[in-house]
Amino acid sequence: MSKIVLQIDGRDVEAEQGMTVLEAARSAGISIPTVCHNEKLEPYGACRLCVVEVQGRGRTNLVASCLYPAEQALAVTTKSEKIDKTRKILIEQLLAHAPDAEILQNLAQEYGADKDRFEKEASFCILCGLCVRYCSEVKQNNAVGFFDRGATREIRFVPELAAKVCWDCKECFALCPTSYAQAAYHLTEALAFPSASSQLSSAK
Amino acid sequence: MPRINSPAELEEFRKDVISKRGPNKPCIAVCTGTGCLALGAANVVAAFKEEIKKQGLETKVEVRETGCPGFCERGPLIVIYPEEISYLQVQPGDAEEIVSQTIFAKKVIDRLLYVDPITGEKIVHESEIPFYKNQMRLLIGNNIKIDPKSIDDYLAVGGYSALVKALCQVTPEQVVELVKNSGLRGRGGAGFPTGLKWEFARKSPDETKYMIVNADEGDPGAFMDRALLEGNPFSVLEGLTIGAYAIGAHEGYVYVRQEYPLAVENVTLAIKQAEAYGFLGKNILGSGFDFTVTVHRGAGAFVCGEETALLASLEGKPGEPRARPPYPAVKGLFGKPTNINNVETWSNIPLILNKGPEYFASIGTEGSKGTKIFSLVGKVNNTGLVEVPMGITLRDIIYEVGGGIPGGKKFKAVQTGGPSGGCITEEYLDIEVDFDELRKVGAIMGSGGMIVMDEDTCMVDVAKYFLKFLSLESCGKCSPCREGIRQMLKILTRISEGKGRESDIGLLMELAESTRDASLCALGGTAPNPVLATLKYFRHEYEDHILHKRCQAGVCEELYKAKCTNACPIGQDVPGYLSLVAEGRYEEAISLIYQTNPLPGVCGRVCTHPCTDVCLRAETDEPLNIPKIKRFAADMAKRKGYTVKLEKGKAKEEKIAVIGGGPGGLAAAYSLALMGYRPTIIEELPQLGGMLRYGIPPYRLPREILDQEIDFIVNVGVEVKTNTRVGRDITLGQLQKEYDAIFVAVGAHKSLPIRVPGEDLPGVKGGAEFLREVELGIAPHPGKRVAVIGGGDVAMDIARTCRRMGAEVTIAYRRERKDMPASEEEIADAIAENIELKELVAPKSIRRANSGLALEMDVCELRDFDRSGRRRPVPIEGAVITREYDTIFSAIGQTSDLDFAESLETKGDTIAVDRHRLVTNLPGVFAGGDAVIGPARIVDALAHGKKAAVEIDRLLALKSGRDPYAESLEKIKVTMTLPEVVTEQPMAEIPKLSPEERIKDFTAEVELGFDEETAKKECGRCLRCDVSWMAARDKSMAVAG
Amino acid sequence: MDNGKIDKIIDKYPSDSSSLIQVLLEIQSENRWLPKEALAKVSERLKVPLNRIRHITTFYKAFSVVPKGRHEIHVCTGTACHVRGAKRVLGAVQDATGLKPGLTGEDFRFSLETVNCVGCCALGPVMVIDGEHHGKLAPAKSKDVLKNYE
Repeated sequence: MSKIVLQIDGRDVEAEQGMTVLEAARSAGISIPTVCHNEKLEPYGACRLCVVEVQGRGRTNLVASCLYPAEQALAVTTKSEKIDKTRKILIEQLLAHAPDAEILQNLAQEYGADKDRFEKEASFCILCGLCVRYCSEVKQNNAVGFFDRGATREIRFVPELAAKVCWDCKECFALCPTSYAQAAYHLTEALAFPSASSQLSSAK
Repeated sequence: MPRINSPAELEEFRKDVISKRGPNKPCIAVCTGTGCLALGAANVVAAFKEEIKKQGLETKVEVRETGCPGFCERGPLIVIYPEEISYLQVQPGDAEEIVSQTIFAKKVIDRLLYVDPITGEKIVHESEIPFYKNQMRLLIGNNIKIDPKSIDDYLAVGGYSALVKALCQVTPEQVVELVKNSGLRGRGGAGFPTGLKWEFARKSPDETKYMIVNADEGDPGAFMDRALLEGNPFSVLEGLTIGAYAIGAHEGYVYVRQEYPLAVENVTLAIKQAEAYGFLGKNILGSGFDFTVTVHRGAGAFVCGEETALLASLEGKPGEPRARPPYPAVKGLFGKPTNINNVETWSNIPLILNKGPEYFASIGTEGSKGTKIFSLVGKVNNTGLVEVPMGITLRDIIYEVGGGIPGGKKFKAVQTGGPSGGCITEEYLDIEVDFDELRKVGAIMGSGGMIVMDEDTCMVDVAKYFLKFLSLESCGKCSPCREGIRQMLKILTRISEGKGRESDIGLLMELAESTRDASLCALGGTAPNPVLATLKYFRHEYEDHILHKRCQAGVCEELYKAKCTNACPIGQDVPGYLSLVAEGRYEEAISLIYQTNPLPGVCGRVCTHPCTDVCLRAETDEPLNIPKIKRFAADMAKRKGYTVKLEKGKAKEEKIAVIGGGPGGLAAAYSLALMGYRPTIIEELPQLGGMLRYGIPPYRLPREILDQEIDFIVNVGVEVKTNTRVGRDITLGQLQKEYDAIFVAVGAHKSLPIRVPGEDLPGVKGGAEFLREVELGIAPHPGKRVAVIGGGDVAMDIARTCRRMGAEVTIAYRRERKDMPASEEEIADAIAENIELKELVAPKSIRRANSGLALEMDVCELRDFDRSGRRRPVPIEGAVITREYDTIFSAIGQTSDLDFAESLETKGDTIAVDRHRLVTNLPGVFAGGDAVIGPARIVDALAHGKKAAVEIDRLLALKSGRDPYAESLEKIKVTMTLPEVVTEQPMAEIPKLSPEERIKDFTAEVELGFDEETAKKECGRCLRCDVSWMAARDKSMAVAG
Repeated sequence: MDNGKIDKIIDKYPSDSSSLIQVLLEIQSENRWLPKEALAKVSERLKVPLNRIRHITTFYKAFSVVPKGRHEIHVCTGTACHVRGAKRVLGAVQDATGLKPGLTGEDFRFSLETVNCVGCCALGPVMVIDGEHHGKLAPAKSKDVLKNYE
């Protein structure tokens, strides 16, 4: 692998060809916040908290560092008024779903986000997709997936599969920043495949 | 079917096809595009086929089912060749006549022709119809000439000659060069140079590459790709094949949305035919080049128009866009280099090859070449597809091609570029349309949707509509897009429901920015555009919704009771009093009217009734005659001696002066008096009434009615000082010292000059001044011959007044009757009184003549459209007429005389105020009515009067530390039931004195009023939108709760 | 819908995941909805995990995972129809059918959907019933049109 050098916040940072800007920055000890990123999984680019500014074609663009390829001589800024403002309002929008999520609370503190800026939303899932991607990429079980699109997008367990594979896995629960994965699982379980124990209790 | 193996074979075959047809063989081309099919074109085709069979003409006459030529508005469309006779709105029943008359006897059937709405001329040939004439139909022009299910038809019009040229005469590199030199930019939206895109894909080193036609035309309001793919799929396939050759690809896809079943059908069939002929498949035309095409149906997702989402969808995945780089030219479908162009882009390619890049580049502007197809839809007369050269102005598209706005409504904005585009206002209609100019004004070309909106469109609703669309169509993967749109939609929804907050506009801007900047793909990146564009140009509408809970256009249903009530500046409860009158509860009716209107008898006679313009009954038959019912109620109250009971507030000490005793001043004084003040009206003239008395003649507004209603107001508790002119008898400064608050409502009494030589001659007079003098009894007789210049209500009033004084009167107007600002009823009344209306003449000069004045007038013709959306009258060279008159009146508009108050800040000819609170630059001084908005309607003045009273009270209450006056209105119970059956019944006409009778007497009221039975029956026509919407609202609230 | 029929449809396409949407569209148009068993079959044959199939059937609007009525009404709420009063046409259709968009009546006579543009913008407001387009609608006229579908 050939080495490249890019500038992050004015510093020369050495990286390997094929790395993303996020990886390059973290390897140099520069921190960039993320919610949907996980090193075990393919970069996803949904939460957009990792936005940074890159210079290109005479203008500055906001891009997701978790997806943007590190290139030779690329100039990256990870902190600016615009970046902070964008992150703040994104955190506020996610907090409308999950005001109690620890990761969001910490970020809110860092960026001065107000958790009550937007009305509370019904669903506390923030659609980071960690559960879905972990289940398919790492476990290859595909027991949980996305449904629908746009404002009504959600995650759901597929009952036929979940009934077979989830009971001794449940690894996605720990990954979930809001505990929604667990709630969704139990809901599916209750509705679609009542567990052996509850069948017993109802028989009594 | 033959397989064609070389260019020579193709030309041979083409000759054969053409010779079989014969240039003079009659052909009836029937549009069977989706639009015409919806209007019954299939039955028309069947009728023709049957008729031709019946007459045994199967071999002599061809019936051709063709694609869409664009004029969907007037479908089903047919064109008869070789004469090119165009018939519109053809029904199956017309088939026999057309075959026997037009085909056989070569006679044109008049009633099926296009009638020019301006000249009334009937137009025979398609190409001469204004809708088509102003277009440049390079791409869509063939649609009506070919059956899209017949490749032979395509060959007959020269099809596939571009492919021959590409495959056999030039190298792939040269094709790329040709396209680059043409300057063609992608028609899908972003306008990326097509040649450059091809070059990237060509240079990507890979054996396997893919070509894609993007026919996922998801922009609601755009349908040019549907028409092209349905009407001429071969041109798209030919372009695609040329592109594949240039780039070095051997597999292609047509990605077409399944909502276009006919397009799917036709392109699938076209591929089969092209394969059979050897235009697709192995060794095309013997060139050694292989290329196959597959149709892939989109399953209903707007986001798949975005190229990376489209690729995901082609791979069998949800249409979620992915980040670029890498671009599809490098890593596209199944990871291979891929080139995607839109349908219209592809259909330009054969044209460029055939006619050469120089020809193509000679059309259009510096940065945008060729033509563009727009779908011109919404509130425009000629809706349909229009193909025009880049660089044409928006005004030309909307007015010359589109024929302007229907129903005499005002243009408000045009939305270009679909949901992620922007709206363009009147101010920018003269920009030359191309990729770059549109971007400069905050809109985009997009795929070419052009949705025209008139004054009945609410821009908050438009933004809400688009955001709602996008919230459902976003893929939902990345949070700035999904959550940003969600929050913006929530805010827009609450604004439209009257629950908006003052901070909402700022919050919208902030959300718009983060959504635009941080989203993954172009859908999110452009999603805030509708919000940003409407906020940029229509911020006042947002403010009206938020601050005043008002939707001027009457779209946001949560904000009003019924359309009529909403259209009324003083918010009269129209359905309420109609219902009361219908039940004979006249006393309650007049009480209800008085709750918002202190001049019912006046308004019932001379209000310009914006309520009737929006009445939903018009969809069934005609609107209700609302003002005349109000008049009936007022007359009834007077006849029966009802007195309206009024609640008066506690007496208050502060002194308030109202300058001007017109409707604005009267309304303000009335409201202030009810609040407990004792305001003083200061009036220059001897009596109160303002323009009502000194501008409207008594035959329209009897003085006893006016006097009585003014007396009522004065008796509530108003001081009156007449014959007192501020600035002459007392200064504004003095008033400011003497009074705690002042309301300036001086009206607009000064006529505007005509600005022609000789207008200072004696005998040339201002119309408004004349009407005043007549009322004061000091007007000199105008003489026997009178000319009135102008076309508004004042012009009618002067003309009819002079007529009653025995004069012969001519009204000279520079446009046409339909353009006159006066109400049609007034014009008709004037003409019935033998007043001459001379249209299309403009005064040129006035000079002394032997006996009186010689008025020289230019005869005009109407040319292009001006800012008012009407055609501009332009003098015809050398066409001048001269007539002699004793008196010439100018009635082309009025303005306020503001000399009395130099300290008041003005804006043009009017007083500058904060429009929300009517405050002027001077503390404690408010202003309203004509002096603020220019000559306006009576109801506008009444509304300003009431508003000024509320604002004045708020100010004084604040100063003295008390609560502002809270109006408490008696609750009048109105029956809330819907009409059981609605049967057609036109509007009741008001009976009138005969023209002969009425011109005898200056004061005889022309309109006679309804009798009880007619009034009740008319009221029964009300559809009670207030009831049905209230019910709908209750239902939705119950569901939500 | 029996397995044989589904197999036949699948056989028409290359047997890999890229055929998924085309196969589902064909099943949808044959059967008017996508039963669970059909999805399982498609999953097995095209080797596409069920969670992705579920996502696709809810992502794209053409699919329905519940049975549809005999007549499918699509009221266009595209922009051109919207500015010409599609909302009130939709209201009238809702009134006449007693259905909200997305629902099917208990008698399975009608299913009601809205659609974002059928490309008949010049004739707005438009509704499409079983593929047949009806243009230039007013609320009352749209109710009349429905009477032709039993």
